[in-house]
Amino acid sequence: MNSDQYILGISAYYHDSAAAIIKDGVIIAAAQEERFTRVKHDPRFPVNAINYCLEEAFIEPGDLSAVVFYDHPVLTYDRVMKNCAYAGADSFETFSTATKSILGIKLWVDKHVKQAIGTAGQLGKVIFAGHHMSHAASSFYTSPFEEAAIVSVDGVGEWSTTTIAHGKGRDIQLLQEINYPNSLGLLYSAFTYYCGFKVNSGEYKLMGLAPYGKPVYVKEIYDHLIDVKEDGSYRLNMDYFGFLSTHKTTNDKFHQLFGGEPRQPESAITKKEMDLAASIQQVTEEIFIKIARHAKKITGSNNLCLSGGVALNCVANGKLLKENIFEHIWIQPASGDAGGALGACYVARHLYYKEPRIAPNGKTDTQKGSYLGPGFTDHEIVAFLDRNKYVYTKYSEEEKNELLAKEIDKGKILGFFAGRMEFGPRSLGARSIIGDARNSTMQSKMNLKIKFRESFRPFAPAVLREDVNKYFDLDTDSPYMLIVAPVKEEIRKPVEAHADSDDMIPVINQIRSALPAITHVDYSARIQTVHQETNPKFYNLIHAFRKLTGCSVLVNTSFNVRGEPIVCSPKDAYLCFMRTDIDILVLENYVLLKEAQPKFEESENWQKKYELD
Amino acid sequence: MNSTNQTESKIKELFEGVIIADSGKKYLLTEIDKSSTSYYETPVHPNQAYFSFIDVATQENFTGYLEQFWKESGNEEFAQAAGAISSLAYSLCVDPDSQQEDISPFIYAMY
Ligand SMILES: [Fe+2]
Repeated sequence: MNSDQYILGISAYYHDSAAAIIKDGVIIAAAQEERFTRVKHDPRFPVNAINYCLEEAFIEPGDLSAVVFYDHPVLTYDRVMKNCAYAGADSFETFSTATKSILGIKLWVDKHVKQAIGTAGQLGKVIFAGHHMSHAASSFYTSPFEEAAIVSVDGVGEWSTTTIAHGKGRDIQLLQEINYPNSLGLLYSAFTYYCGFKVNSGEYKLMGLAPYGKPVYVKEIYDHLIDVKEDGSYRLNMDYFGFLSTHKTTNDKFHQLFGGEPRQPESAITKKEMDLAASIQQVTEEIFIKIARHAKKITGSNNLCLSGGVALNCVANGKLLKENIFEHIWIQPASGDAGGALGACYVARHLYYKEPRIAPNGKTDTQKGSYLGPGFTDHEIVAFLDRNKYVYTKYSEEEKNELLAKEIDKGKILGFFAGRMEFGPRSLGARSIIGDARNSTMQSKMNLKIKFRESFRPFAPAVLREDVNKYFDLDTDSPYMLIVAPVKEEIRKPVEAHADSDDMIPVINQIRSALPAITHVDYSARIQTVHQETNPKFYNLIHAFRKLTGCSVLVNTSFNVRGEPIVCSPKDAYLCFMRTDIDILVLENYVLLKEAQPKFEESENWQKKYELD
Repeated sequence: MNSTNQTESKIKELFEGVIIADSGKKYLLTEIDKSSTSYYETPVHPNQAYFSFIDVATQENFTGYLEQFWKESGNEEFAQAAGAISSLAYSLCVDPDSQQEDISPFIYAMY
């Protein structure tokens, strides 16, 4: 008889469906459904991700002790009913849509699980973990801490939008919360929408846009949109928001406050959007820091665990770190709803089954670098390449890295595919596009010819952990690209001041440091420290580059084009390689040169398939 | 009346009979109170916030579940509508593949 305890966690039906599996408290696998279906932010029931998790764990569905869902549909329906009772007759459309979606689909997780895998595990029924409890569990139980304050902030989950909890050993105690409709995540999303970006993916763009602007609207935001107390608690002024009774986050009063209708998606970005971005970013950071201070006060902890979509705001995380409120901070890399699948597993293990926690070592997290998705063997890669008659050369690890270092130094761009795919929204060197950070044309080349995305968007540096302090004002681990820190004064270059204008291009093209491709307009960088222990393949590549050039920083951006989910399989990687100006594709130790490949014939209209994000 | 129309009218009935009838209740905390020092609440739904089970084994079970859920949280009016809501849930229950219309990328998916 199998005495191992396997728990499957599922998140679905909102923005980012995912599945995760743990065995006796150790993460075996986790992946987002979008990577398999190739539909960005796929909200559908994650049947592919579930099957992958079972395969990776090498078990049959009947071996599962429990299946856990990360959200409570009745609690969400309770919120919808009360929202509509509050909003009155105008909210019928909202009520009707929500009723069909919650009572028609979300309530029936148990049935959907049984349809997909034939069983809901040995328990025979699905456990529903609280949405914010799942976020909290995803950060605390994977953290290096035995005890910590836990803060999760998102748009909304059931009723909660902000929660403060305390984790100790195997237990988590919820302490305080802020509930719908008051939501820092929804406030940020309102600005994302107003500035013409898509909600749930555009927040990252808004954050990237912020340093181009000035926070001139901060007073308007505090005076009209949100009342914030010293302890970080807040309420929104609902006079300015439309989401209680319509599908729109903002309303006319909001638009009037900021001088007009929302920006049309894909139209030119103006100084107004830059200033709005800077303003909402500053307000978010200020509130975030106050919440953290309050969490410290009520828990007395020296450690902080963060999760929820707002914890993906790495600029705010960087500011929080600098405040030194906590000695140590750990942020769940899959902080959005996908990570709820992982948290749900731990809720079942530690709170339902009351199993003890594997003692954390105080130093390293148990997320395994977040390399929790599918990996491919040499055999599988060769079979794929040979079947399609693609031209490749196999190298030893060392030869390969020497060759690639030289090519990067010459300005070539790599599609780098190594090991298991990342879980969470960031590429961390397993499915990454790589280039030379010293190259002054790299940012615009990567944005325009590889990613086909807006030219203002900055790229992130991947740096050897031991060298991070040589280039950046940071001397802590940041393996998940969740912390922004300034580029060191010594490597900065003076730039001419540009008058405030709508035209960002002259500002974007300024060379700001010895690493222009990764230095943002305010001299900041979104840092990934690369560690030998968690990703030796990526580490060894950067190491070879350092040996050749003396520089231990590379540009690392996600392996996809705009609107496409990050590549998962060798086939996805090959397609992205051929559709873009990526020069070299690296599939483990197999290297493919663009010019050596057979003529590529496009089989689908991918620009149409991957809608702009 | 076909089943789609029947469901639509059940939703309308619920909206008018329960939701609108209950409107005006201060279910949402939206007052800006400059004199208070904190807006934090202690967890409002401790029974569901950690983990729980939802009994949908039969329509009657689900009615009972909803009744208890709203009685516990002091919502007598909603508890009385448990039977209607449970019946609606059973008639709306669809295959996950025939999911709701696409979520607009410009709104935050809240339900
Ligand atoms: Fe969430």
